[in-house]
Amino acid sequence: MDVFSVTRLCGLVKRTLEREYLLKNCYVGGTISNLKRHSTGHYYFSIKDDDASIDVALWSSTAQKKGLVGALENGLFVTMRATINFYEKTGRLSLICNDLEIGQKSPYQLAYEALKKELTALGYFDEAHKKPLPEMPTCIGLVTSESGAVLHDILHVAKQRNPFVTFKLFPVQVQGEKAGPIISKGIKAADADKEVELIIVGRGGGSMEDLWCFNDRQVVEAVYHCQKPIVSAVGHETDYTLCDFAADARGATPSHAAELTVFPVAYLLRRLEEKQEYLHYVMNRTLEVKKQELQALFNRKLGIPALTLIHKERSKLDECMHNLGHSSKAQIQKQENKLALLAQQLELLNPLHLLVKGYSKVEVEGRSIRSVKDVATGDTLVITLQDGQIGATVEDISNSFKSK
Amino acid sequence: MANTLKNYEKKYAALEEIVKNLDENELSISDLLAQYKKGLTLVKECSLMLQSVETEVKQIIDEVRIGE
Repeated sequence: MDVFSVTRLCGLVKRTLEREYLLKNCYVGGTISNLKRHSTGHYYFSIKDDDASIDVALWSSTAQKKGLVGALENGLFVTMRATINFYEKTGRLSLICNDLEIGQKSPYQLAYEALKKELTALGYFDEAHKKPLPEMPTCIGLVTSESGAVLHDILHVAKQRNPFVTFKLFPVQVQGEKAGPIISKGIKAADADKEVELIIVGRGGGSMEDLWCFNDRQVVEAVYHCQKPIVSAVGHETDYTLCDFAADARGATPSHAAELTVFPVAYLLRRLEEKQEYLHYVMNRTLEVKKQELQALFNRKLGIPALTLIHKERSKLDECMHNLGHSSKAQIQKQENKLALLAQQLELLNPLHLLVKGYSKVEVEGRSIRSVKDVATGDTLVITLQDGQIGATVEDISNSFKSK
Repeated sequence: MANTLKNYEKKYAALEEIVKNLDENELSISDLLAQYKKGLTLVKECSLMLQSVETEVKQIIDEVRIGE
């Protein structure tokens, strides 16, 4: 027995499909379902009839070239030229759409459009009829399946945001032909409940047919006549049902519906904290201002005057010291002047001055000669002049002055 | 502090007296020297007193940092 590896098997499938001429550019007709537009501009949807369904990819470039951007919607019956593609990584078979022609609308689509038109005329979807949602509901009624992921999603989101909000479940069937009247009854029951302040009605994602019961007239009427604010959350973001249009608000998903309705406790706490911080700020600010005022008053009235007084006293003291020095110097100057005068008088008595004028001192053997009687002829005289001495011998002595 | 201030005033008055004396009277050199020295001592003492008062005042101002 030959055992294929998965790769080999998938490769074989791919090659076999690619060899098949009929699948290369085949024409296929069916209804669009599960239409999604990716952010890159590519479209992904299923094309189906009553018994079969296959995934289709319509590349953004093809959609633009063929003028199909925005033209596709769920429930449209289309004929397209497509190539079959086998994606080995996932083992999935899909069609790559090469061209597409919009054909007849499906019976579902026609019924939907007719009902929408009628109810629009009756004002079911008017903005004016919509009630505002309560800001902080404490009890929320959930009209959904008790087994679906919706219940779990909503409770999960709600618990994170605000554990004090309670939920009351009104379990209903959310797909199939009988679901419409049951959902409608569930809405009425939630509306009649005394504790419930707000209602969320919805279900998780599914095919257009799965969501169809939310286009049921009875459901839309129940939503419209509901006395309490009601939020609709059906399927994914791209799914719109008449229930969504009639509700007071639409949650793109059940989780989003929970975000819309459950007020986050964290936000409340933050608001409280902000108020508290503001109070602290105002308090501190006021205290700070008062403190500064007091400080300024102290400085102005006490600190600065005290220092000024001290500085004044110091300059007085400096001046005193200066005067002390000055007066002492003056006294000394006076004494010096006196001394100088005495010195001058003394100077006048200096014998050298006589020598300068031409007088001279005569000595014999160290004795000063004051009279002719003090010498005898032949004595040796020493005559002192201003610049030196002369030795001389006495030749003649006379008692009178001889004039020349 | 009040004592210090009273003392200061006394010393300052004495200093002024010395300056006046030096200004108005003729003194012997030895008296002059004695008076001058005494004057300088008074200046030094007064200056120290002023400084201590100033330090005290500044300390008080520092202590009166309101609310810190």
